[in-house]
Amino acid sequence: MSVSAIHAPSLDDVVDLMHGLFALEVKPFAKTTEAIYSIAEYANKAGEVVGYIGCDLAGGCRLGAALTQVPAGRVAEAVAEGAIPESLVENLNEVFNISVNLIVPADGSRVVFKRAVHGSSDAEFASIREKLESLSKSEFCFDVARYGVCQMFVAN
Amino acid sequence: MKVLIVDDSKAMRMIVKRTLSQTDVGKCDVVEAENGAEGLAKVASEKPNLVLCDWNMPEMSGIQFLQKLRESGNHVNFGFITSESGAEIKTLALETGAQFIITKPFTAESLNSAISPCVA
Repeated sequence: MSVSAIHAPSLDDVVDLMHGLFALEVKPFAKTTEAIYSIAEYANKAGEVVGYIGCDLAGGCRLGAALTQVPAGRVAEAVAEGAIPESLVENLNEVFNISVNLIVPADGSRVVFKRAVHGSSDAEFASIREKLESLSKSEFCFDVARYGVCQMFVAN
Repeated sequence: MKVLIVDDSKAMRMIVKRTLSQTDVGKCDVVEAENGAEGLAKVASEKPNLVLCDWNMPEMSGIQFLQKLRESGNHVNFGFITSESGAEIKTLALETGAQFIITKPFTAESLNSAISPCVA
């Protein structure tokens, strides 16, 4: 994977996308250092992974909940339980799918959402997490009105 | 007015349905399908006035669904709502017979602008 193959999005790009997606106010927030919980892979036409987007557990629950306006109380329960409930996983995967617009190849080629892994209990989480260590990563932190803070990264 | 929403994501079908209710179309009959194959069956059985369809879906993609519809002589109003944003995709959609293509995320305003000519 070429590090220069993808244009890194700006915080404004991320905030604008999330605002458009949720129709809620989204504001930049001071960076936190939460552990990565969910990682999405994006692939080119040949099926090669060309980029990743990930987020922390609480952020993933909040993004998933905000998509279909699930009551914020459900988010707190999920975070306390330490896992994203299946219903929110489906929503978060759709957020990752739409976030493909943050993965912009320099040559304008097509990229698609391939899959996402959630939590260290997923057999493939560790190997994907390890790959991220050697990649260029842009980190973003933002607050979604009514839901709270999300930490997200884009890597390639 | 009957609208068929075709998307493999239940969350996205819910969002499209909700956003549709915020357009000038307002309240209308909505039927849903999870992929193109199911969409074909629903077009035949439900005879919608408008199809709002995702691009990437398992079993049968949105563009395959549209191609099959047009090949069969069906000219129902058809628009894509997709995360795809490339120029090639837009060209292919329009050349195949879609009336419009909207990139996710979208607003009630953008959906309204796109569907207005189809429902006038």
